[in-house]
Amino acid sequence: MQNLRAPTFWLYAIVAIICLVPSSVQAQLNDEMRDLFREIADHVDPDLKAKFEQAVRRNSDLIELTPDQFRRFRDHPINPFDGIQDIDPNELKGNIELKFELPSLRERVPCQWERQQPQLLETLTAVAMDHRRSIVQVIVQGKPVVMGVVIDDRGFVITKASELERDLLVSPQTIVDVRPQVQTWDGRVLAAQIRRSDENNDIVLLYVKDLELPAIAWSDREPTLGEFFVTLGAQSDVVALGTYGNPPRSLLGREQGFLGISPEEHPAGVNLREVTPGGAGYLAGLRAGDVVTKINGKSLSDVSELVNQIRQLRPGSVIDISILRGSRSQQIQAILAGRNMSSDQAARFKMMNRLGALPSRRNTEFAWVLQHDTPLLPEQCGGPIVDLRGNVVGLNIARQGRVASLAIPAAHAQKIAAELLQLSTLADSGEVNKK
Amino acid sequence: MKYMGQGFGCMQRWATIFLYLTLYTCFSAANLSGDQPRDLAALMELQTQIESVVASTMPACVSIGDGTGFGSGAVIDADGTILTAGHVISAGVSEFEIFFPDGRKTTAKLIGYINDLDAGIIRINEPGPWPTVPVARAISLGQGDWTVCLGHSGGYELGRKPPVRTGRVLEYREHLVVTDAVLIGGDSGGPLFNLAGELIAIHSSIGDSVAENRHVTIDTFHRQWKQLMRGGDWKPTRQVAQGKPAIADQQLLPIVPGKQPTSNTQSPEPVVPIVGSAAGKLGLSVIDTEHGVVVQRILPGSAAERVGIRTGDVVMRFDATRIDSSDRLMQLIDSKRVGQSASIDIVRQGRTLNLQVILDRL
Repeated sequence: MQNLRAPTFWLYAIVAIICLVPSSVQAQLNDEMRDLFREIADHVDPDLKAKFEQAVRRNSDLIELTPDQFRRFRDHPINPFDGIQDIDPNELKGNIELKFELPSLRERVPCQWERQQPQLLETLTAVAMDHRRSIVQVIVQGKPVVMGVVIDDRGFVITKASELERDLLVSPQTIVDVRPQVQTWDGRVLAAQIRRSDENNDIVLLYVKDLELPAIAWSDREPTLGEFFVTLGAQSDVVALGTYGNPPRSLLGREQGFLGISPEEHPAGVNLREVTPGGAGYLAGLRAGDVVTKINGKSLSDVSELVNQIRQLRPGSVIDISILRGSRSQQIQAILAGRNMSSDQAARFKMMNRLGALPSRRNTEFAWVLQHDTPLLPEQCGGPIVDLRGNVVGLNIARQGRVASLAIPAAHAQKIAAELLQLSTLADSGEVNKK
Repeated sequence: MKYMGQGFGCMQRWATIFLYLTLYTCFSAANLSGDQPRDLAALMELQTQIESVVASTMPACVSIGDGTGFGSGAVIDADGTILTAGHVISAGVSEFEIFFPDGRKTTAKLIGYINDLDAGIIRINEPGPWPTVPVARAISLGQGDWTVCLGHSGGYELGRKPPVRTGRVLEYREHLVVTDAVLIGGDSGGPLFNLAGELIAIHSSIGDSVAENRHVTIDTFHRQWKQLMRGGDWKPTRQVAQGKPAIADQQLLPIVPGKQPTSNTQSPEPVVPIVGSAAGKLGLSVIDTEHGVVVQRILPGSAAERVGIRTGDVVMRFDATRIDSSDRLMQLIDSKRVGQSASIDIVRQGRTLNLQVILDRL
């Protein structure tokens, strides 16, 4: 009651710098902190949620909490500020004001031994030269939001759809004109029209009149795990260096289908070492020791193929499974189930995912993506990645989080581009016919 | 006035907790700086090495589940001995589920762990032979040297192999090596390799930057091998009893999803201050020799320098506790907060000196 002002603590992520300050200094929220507040608000109780939402609205990094609210925040799994674990609100009498701080990623300078050290990246500029004319910077309302790739020399560009849309809610059916522009390698800024979008792959097709730039040369080379990936920028530059970490897989279906089996490799397909009792596979009649040879009529060569097939389907989907039981082959139909994740674990993981990374707004739910560890900002996605010989092996589609960036493999990107282009040109000829 | 007085009181309290020191132990990386790849050809050669490390080590990188969360580990012999992080296996469970990248699944039992160093060992129950990785005799990398990193990020995911990452050695800190090979929950306990494909460290914790990933060095495992195999002589420390991973550097976030560093605290007493890296820093590096624990290097401006500790001094006692290993000394210093004082007995040219040192940030 007598407290006019609550004591203030500074929070500095995990490296919790906590001290009392006269609480007059109020800073604006940086992007990192705003995202973090939103994330926290999504997970805490309504009372705390209101506090964090209010801070975002007020664009303030100060949050005042009652001892009880403080205790709830401190003990919540989403709280990444381990530094406040030692604060006992009862000792402090009155409300506690927390001042949050996160270092800005955009201003971070790598130290001389890091992979992203500028001199090291400079050795790669030769690799960037071949493709510079086919890479553009996409600008919305004067701000560079994402990169794009020229896919057809008549002026067609593809880029990451969700970054372009910014705060506008856009579905593939209702395309809102956000008046994007593209900036070319030689400095021209041209207006772009949104033509078509592909929701599953988060790709949008742009048409740029008078672009007059060559299409990117996709490579059909299959990269090797562990090899270097170079992310190219739109100013004939190298953005960052990373490592190819995981082969392409489907991340479609937030609620992925589950069969409840433990598969392992087998010469004839995939052997089921275990079938979870009560799981979708068990209910359909699968038993341990069965060898799955086909899913929906398609032959299987390894475990990841089986898993990817299933993951692409939602819970409730029906699949046809061909199995070998002993020497007898059999057909089984299963209805896929969903899986429950512990929400505390998920929250903790999400929080870690933000440490040192600004995830793209849409960072999962892609039909077919490979994974690499290049640290990218959201606006650095949408452009090509090349191998050390300059082969274009993919298109960066998202910063997934701290350890992963996602890219659409070149062959798949090329297919998406061709389909969007065909849809767009079909529509054009339709319009011409009407006239 | 009321507010002023109160605020000041609080400030003092937190300031005390806040001041802390560094202890550099055992590793002197300054003379071991690695070569920077100078051109594309050098990078390509490096790439060839990395690819071959990945291909040879991937099969032995396992995911470890204890029923509540996931960590990672590396199999080091055909019988299925697995090195992992202490906090992955110290939740009170004695039986673990092991997932191999090829989809094989088996179980393992607890052998031992030392929570203070975040080192642990488990062994597969089924007879082998299991895929293995070679273990380095010592970590002998300098700043800038390249490493290859594997681990089941986010826990075991069927059909996904442990994602490959690379990073460079940025720093040595106590029993840890710090790299920019990025880690996240689920990677804990996973392997870090040198370019020869040898296991050099085990993933332990992260900070808020992509350049802050900490791995327990293989040297720590070698030094503590006997204790670990016996079940970990230091297992029942106060911190362990409280279920709190008490790794030397407290600015850490143990990287197992769902494993909270401060859950199930029964004692009201705050054991380890987590506020701002409370680990005490003295600013010296020591090495184990046959004569005892010998000071190797003193950081300029450090508490060690101020109090007059010199290179070559043998550390005998720290706060009346006899020092028989560098790890023991490190543990004791880590238990101190900045601003606290300590009594150190050293032997210099046959004479025993008693020094009173106040630990500070550096």
